[in-house]
Amino acid sequence: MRRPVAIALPALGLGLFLVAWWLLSDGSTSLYFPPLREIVSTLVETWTPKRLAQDGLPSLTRFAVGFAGAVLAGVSLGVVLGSAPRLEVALRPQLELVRSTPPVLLLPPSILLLGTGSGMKVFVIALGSMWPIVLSTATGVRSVDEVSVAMSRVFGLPRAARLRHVVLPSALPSVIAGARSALPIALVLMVVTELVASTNGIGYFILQAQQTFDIAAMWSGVVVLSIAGMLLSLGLAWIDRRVLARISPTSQGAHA
Amino acid sequence: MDGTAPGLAAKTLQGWFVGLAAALAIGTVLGIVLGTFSIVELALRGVLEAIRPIPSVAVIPLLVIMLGIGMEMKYVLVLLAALWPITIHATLGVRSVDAVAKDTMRTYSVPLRGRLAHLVLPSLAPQVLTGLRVASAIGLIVAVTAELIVGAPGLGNQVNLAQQSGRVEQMWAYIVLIGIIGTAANAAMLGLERRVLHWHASHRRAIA
Repeated sequence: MRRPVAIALPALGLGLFLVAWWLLSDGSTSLYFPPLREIVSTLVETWTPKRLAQDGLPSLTRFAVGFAGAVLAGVSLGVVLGSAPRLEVALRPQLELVRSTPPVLLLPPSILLLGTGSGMKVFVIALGSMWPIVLSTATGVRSVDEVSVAMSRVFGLPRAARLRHVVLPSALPSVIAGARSALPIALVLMVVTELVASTNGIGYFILQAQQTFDIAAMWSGVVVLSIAGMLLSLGLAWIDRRVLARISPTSQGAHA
Repeated sequence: MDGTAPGLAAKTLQGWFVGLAAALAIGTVLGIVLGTFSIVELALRGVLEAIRPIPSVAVIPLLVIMLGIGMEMKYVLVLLAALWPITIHATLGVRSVDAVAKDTMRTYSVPLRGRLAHLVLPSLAPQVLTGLRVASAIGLIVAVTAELIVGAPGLGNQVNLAQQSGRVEQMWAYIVLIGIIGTAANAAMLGLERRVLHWHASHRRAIA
């Protein structure tokens, strides 16, 4: 399949889908599936810069802080677990249990401990989405080239320098892979925290629209969320490619 | 029985299982179609890529007004969330069929049934089961989320009720119980993979 076709055909498919949706839904009187025309006009009317600042910005800020926290905590814990195999074996059952517990369950205890403010939401996003990063970083740290580690030891490289120049660069692709699987979880937690206890945010907007039976507005919120999700995921994929290209120029082709 | 922990766990597992089974059936068929006909895959790729990033929890409000807060809502939500991993892995599975083996079978005019049973299925099964394992974890998450947020019957709802009425020990007990169920579900999926795929390279014991 040549490249122009590989780009043109999906675009054409999406275009046809939207046209079909537009035409088929135009006379729709269904409460749940309003005409696409109405959704689009609601989208344009509702998501003004003011609304984006009022509901979009708080969501994304909490997401960004929470996700940054997840990466920071995930990498730290992952490095510790990856460089202490015995500790990892000892903690494996606990990690397995925590990892298998749906992260939304953090919400009720967090509300008890921290209230319903932004701090609680950031905490839930960070703690709930860090596990893929922990596990992936630990795997990355364990698979650092042993010769490089031994060599850095022989040359008397201090611990911190070894971590910074040998271990972390080699574990970086695993860290990013973990971050990529953590991203959708963080996004889900961002929405969930706003559905339960909030006074602003995209999730809160969707819930408000539902409770006032403004279905077109609700759909517009879902569209905004999926655009945000797509952009974030594309952004991480881009970082991934950049980092991989810098670390080993040869692997670029395999990932491009 | 309904208000007890086993009864509530059954409600959670029921939502998870029904949605997951539907996702397995639909996702496998969809994946086979997408993997076999690359034209179809290309034509649908734009649409799928636009739908996929929607966080499944964002449609909970919509599903609630359409279906209420009962079991049906949970089935549909789990189905929606579990569909993509299975579809994607099934597509990859069909694509990973060895081209030389395929041509050889054609040359020897092996009938379609034989090709499906001895060529496509062995490449498809490992991928579909991997997709199923990923989907099962996601399915449990959204099932519990639906219970927690909108009060669909099940263990997640109990966590919320216990928190709101200040029964902290009970809240933690239900959380741990759900964690144990999640761990067991994951182990069950791994066991299923080992059983079904004992012949596959990734599950054979090394001889050396």
